[in-house]
Amino acid sequence: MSPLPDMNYLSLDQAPPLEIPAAFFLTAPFAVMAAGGLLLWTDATALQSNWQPLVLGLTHLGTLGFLTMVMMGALYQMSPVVAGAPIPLIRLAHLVQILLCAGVSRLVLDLSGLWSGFTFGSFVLIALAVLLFLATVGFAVSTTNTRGETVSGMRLALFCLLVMMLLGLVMARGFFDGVFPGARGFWVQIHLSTALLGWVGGLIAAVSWQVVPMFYLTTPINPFKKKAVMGMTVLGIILPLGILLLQQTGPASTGGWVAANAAALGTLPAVLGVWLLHPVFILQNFQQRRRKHLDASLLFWQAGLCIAPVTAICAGFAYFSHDPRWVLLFGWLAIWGWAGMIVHGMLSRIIPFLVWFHRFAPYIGRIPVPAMRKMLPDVRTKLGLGCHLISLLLGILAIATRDPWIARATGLLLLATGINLLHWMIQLFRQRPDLS
Amino acid sequence: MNSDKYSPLLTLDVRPLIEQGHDPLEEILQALDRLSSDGLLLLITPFRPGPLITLLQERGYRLYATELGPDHWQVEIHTATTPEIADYRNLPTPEPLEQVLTRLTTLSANGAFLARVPRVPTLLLPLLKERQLDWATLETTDGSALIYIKRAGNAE
Repeated sequence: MSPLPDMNYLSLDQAPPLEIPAAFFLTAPFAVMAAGGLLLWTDATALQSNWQPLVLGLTHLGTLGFLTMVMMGALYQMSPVVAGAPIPLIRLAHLVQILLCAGVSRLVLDLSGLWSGFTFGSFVLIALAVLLFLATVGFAVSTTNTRGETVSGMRLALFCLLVMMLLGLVMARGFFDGVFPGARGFWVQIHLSTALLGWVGGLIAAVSWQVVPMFYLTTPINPFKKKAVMGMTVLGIILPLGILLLQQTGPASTGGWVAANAAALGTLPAVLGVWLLHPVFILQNFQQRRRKHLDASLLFWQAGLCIAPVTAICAGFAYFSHDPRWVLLFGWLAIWGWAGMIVHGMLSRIIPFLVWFHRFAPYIGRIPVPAMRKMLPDVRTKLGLGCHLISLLLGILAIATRDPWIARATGLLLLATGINLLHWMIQLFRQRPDLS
Repeated sequence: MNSDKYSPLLTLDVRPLIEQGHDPLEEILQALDRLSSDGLLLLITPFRPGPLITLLQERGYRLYATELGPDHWQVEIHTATTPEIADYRNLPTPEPLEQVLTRLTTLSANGAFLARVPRVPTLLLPLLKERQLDWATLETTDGSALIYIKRAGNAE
């Protein structure tokens, strides 16, 4: 007897070495700490307008430095394990991580006025990191024979990462060379929807189909619900991109205002799919979990999913109101509230699992091996949850009041969240079985 | 299992046969012939098959019937030597994997181990291969799975 002949099982050779996702995960808390440091240093300057270079820097610290850094690390791990797509030239991941890290650091230093003169070059470094990532992970995921909503979601996310990067590059050139390709609001809106709803939202949804039933013992998510979320997200990404294409190539070369309104309408299906349907479906699923034990990572998920519809409402206010605080609030809730909460919570579940699986599982029954749930004490995750939630609330208050002291307090809490995250990650990655 | 004549885990859905008016007894007995001496056959039927249960019990099999829904029954048919099934379905990842690997440390040379797990344990399989164990898995209708593990080379 041996494995079932058609059993699609994971070969350990296909799983990437632990240091690949670890390098990405360990870098992400530095972005949170840097954002905290910048808020401490600049007080309320960042709360005046979303067009300020400093706000652009803070935004990209959140989206690229934290979210994308973690998501890339997770995809290196997920592609072979979940999608059956081994990554070619896996060691190139280190170059991707270095390029992304260098690009984001240089960009933020420039935009915050600490080291000027290389802004477009920073975007080129980031674009190179993304292209290299897509050439390996994107290739593996797009050519795998594995089917299913998780793989579809990963493909959507990777497509959106490419589009988001291309749009960002064109816009960066426009910002810094004074030859912007069209109405700024219109381009920013499409860049935002592709990044937040397609890249981040697509991947969060794809990951949730897999990890929610696995880690929280819920029933498998209904395929119809998965298809509804994915279908609406695809529609809400394709429609605005089509409008941009038509606007740029001629047939619909109306004014930017008309195109922007049409694109906003076109984004609505994705807004509903990612920020309303997906949270409702997953929260419903949590209600049906077989083991009612409440761990802190679940609280992160629940908080992030509850913030999602509020983010959508804020996006509406930001679109119709002239008060820049709505745009800032929307960005803050989307990056640090909805996506930030979910990604932070997932880190506290996935990292102990990876360390345990790679380092300890092979020795079970041979030497004493700790239980996975004991590797990261729940109190550390709860501390992270507390810091994250308080920083989120303080940030909302700081944006509403423009009070420099509240902005500084937000920065301090962000710093604390990043330090706590980095500290427990280092502790976990240092754990090894005692083979003596 | 590879080219073995007998399988430790088999499934047979007889609903289409019954819908076409055929008596599925012959197919069921053929499936039981292909079952290893300590294996398990998962039978899917549209109703509780009372006469079949009596017949097979008389032949020494143990049967457990569960109603899963309207016109949907699941009958587990165990042989006389099918091991007791450990149930890890209510444990989150990776606790089923931990439990299975721990349990395997006490597996005797000719012993087999059978467990219910929340899903097909993809991550466990390479660890079984590394420990030179043979296995078979069977996904059940509720999405959970059965895994049968035996030391390599001890198959029938």
